[in-house]
Amino acid sequence: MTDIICPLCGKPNPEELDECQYCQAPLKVAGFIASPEDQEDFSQIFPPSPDQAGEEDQDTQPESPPPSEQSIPDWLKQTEASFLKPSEPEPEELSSEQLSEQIDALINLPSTPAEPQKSAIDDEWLTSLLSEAGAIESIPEGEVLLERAVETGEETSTPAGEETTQEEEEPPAVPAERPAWLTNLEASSNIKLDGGMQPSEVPEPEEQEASVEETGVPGASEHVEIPDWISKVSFEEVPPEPKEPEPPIEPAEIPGWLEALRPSEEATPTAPVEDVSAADVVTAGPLVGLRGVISAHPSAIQARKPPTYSIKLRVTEEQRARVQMMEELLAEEQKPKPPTSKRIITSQNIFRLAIALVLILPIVWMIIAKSQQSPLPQPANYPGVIDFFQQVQQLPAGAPVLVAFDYEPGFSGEMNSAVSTLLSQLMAKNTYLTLVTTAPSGVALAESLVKDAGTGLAGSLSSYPYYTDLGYLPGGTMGLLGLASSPKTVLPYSLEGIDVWASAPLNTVSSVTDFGAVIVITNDPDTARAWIEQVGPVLRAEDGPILMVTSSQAEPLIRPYYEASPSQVQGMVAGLAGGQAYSRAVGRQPQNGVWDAFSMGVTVSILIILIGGIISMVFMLQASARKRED
Amino acid sequence: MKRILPITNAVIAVVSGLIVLFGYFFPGLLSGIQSVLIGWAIIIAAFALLVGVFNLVMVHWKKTGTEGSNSIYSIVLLISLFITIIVAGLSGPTGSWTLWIFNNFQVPVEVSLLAVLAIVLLYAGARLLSRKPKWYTILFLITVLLVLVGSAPLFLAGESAPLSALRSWLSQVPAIAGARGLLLGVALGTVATGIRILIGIDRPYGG
Amino acid sequence: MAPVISTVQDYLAFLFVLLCLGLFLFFLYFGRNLPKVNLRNIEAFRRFKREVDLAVEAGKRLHISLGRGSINELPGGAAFVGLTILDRCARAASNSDQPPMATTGDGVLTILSQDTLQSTYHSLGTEQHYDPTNVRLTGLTPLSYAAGALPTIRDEDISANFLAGHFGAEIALLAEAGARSQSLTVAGTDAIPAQAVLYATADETLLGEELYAAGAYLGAGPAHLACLRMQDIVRWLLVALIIFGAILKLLGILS
Repeated sequence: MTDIICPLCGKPNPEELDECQYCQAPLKVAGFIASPEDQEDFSQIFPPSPDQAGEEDQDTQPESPPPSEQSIPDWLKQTEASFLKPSEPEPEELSSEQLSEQIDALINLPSTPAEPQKSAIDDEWLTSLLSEAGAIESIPEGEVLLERAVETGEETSTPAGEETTQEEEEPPAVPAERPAWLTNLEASSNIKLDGGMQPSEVPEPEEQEASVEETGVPGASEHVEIPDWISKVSFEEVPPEPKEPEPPIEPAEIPGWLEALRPSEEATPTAPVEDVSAADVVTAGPLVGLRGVISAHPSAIQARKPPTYSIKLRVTEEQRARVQMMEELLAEEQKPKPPTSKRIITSQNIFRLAIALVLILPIVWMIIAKSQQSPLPQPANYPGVIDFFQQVQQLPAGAPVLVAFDYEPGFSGEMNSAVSTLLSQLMAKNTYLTLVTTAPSGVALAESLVKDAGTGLAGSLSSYPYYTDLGYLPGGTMGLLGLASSPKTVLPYSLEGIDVWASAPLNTVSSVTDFGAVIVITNDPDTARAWIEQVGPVLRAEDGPILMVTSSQAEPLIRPYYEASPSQVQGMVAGLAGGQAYSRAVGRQPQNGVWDAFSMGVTVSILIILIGGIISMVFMLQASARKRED
Repeated sequence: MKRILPITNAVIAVVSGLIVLFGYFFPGLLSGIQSVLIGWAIIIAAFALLVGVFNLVMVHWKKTGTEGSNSIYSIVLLISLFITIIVAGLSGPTGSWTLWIFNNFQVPVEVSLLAVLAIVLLYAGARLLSRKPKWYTILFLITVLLVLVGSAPLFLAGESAPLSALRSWLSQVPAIAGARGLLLGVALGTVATGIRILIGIDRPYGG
Repeated sequence: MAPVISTVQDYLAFLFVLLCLGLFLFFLYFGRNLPKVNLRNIEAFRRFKREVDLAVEAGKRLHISLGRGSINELPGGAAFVGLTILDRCARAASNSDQPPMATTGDGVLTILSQDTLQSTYHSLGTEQHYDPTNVRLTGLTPLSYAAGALPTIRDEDISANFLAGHFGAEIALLAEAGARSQSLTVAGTDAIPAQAVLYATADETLLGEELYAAGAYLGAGPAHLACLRMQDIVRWLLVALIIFGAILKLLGILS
């Protein structure tokens, strides 16, 4: 018992079945085009030619097509036929020459009027089928034929009888060596014609049924009824059109690159580019039997619920480790880095220490020993000291004197010698000291010095009573300007909160000109200049003098004011030397070894700078000599 | 407001500056308002000193919270500051306890710093030629040595009158000449800076 | 003639200020049509600008010390120059990890420095970089100011120090601290004694009015260039007047 191979899925089925047990495809209904694998088997079922088809139909036990198959319209069957393409190459691949002969034979059928164009038109459908089968070699001709068929196919119309006649006459014109597939194709087309619906010639179902009842085979009538469209295509007699001589068309010069693009004639696209042998076969739908295509069957498209994606970030362990590393790096940036430890013992530090020891040790020794070896400075050798002394001496007893303590506590070592001498001289004359300062630390400095000078005065235990401390004068230069014009307005009260301007002797003072003298003690040349330039212009020649006690660093800049004509500074004591000279002028002889220590310090400093410069010069010369040698 | 405030600041600054400047040249016209503005400036300067002290406290308070060995110095500073404020507030700015702190802490510390400064200058002078090996460095060092020699008698060598005279000439002629030239340039620069501020081009007050 | 001379003497300063103002405005508004000013090379600014770039790359800090000059006094001019330098440094180091730090010795200057930094960062849109404690009043006396600034130079990872303002001899301590911490020290001041000290201790010194040219060299704007031009002209004018006066004195015309 032979099995019937399903034309759709290719699986064997028992002979008695009408439908495939796997894919439910009809097994014995005409219109299906078998898979290329089973085309030989199909040839047994479906007659290769109308006569053969009729014989075969008689031989076989035709069964009435199942209702499902009857419901399938012919046009759909034709569409299926046209879609179904052999996935594998034909088992019997004809050579190109054979194919061309066949094509020529088909084209030049004796039944048909011999017109290449007409034959072309007649057999256009066949040509198209051949082209789909990939057996056509002469592409241009085929394309021309196809185009002409498309253009004229609709216009042609042939009577059915003639078509039938032509169709009947066609088979004898087929050469003996006609390929089986072509035979099958014709047979299937005949079967289609029997059951197909043609717009012009729709076979009545009664006639069809009658023919079926008579023969038991669908479409198995003595005369194969060929639909009109075939007749129109095949047996149309087209009168030959007069051919006009066409002008010769010169072949165009094809450029090299275009020539290179010409597809190789040897390459015949016989096989699909992509190997779809492993692909699944479509088991349902219009694309049944095809491989490597998406099934159009609705069952192939399964409506599924769209997948829900988690919104949670997926972080792998590696990513997590990297994130942690980055966070640690960023955290390290925020942390203050500990300062790099620096070496304490370096050559530079040793050199500094050596200089400090060389300088400090002799000085300390001089102070401890209270050395008196160096001669004290002479007042005459220091310009301004004598004038300073004389100006202070000329102050009337009890006169108010404005004393400005505008030097820094750090310069106490240099300035205190002159300041203490000054204060002692002023106190000896019972002058009323009016203390003021433009430096924040001047208040405490002034108080401290006045109290020290007062207690030291003639061994008195109490402080000097004739003084008042007006305190800190803010505003710098602007404050001085205000003080010069109206001190009472700028500094209305003393540090103790007393209105000193209301009582003697300051009740007679309305401006700075009313003071017996203005004595400025400062280490800063700019402060000295501010006093001179703000307060000095207010003072007239008959008014009190401006006297300066400065440090050595300010002396060069203040001296021009003293040496000017008229002088803006009537006396000045500068530095430690000036203070020592002033002390000598007053009659005080310091015995504390300070002058010897200062002398020692200056000597050591000169030696250090000299030796350091000589060593540097030697190294420099050696380096330059080495450079020249190189 | 963001646009108006800078313009307002600039207008106030420019007008105030011009009034004080013209008050110097035309005292009869603007001396009154000039005095008022100067008085305000003096008061603001005094208050700014307190703001500066507050800034000092904030800086060191912040330092005490950081890691490191130097934070201990900030703690010492803050403790010293508060103790001095308390003592000066109770004793007065010229009280005995205030003067004790001043005489036993501030004066010695500042004198020591000045001594360190002397050593620093000596060290710099000894290495100057190796750092800046140029001819005017040699001239600089020679001048320093001459001034030092003339400032005080050399130990065991005594005073030299010619060197003293040379030192006096150096400090009064070339040094002062150079200083005056520098001061003229400084004055010009100050005038230029003042002009830029007076016409509102430079606005250091956040305008 | 005598009243004219008297009036001129009375208002000489005012005329001088007007002259400076006129020249400044002329160069400011018509300077574009004049030949471009080629600033002479000042090594201090060249090295400092390079050091600023290096500091930004290395993530180090700049230190600007504005001195102790009060704006109420003559040294106030140097203080304002220091504020300009602070502004330019803050802009140059705006994308640095560590903003620049400023130290002062005056209360008013401290407030102005804070305001300058805040304005600079506001104009750059980086207000988050502003920290009021980056400007510090380190001391009210010169030596205490210097002593208070030493830890800043030593401990704050300073790459370069720009000391611009009014200083005294205590500036040598700051320069020495900069040398010890191996940071560049560029210094300029208006005080004569400090300039002498700086020549011996600082890496680069700005003498005289070179400090007042800082704005022009650091790109503070065309106004600073106009000021430089004005200063040049007035300086030559003063030189001519001095020489003329000296000649008159020698000839005995002037008493």
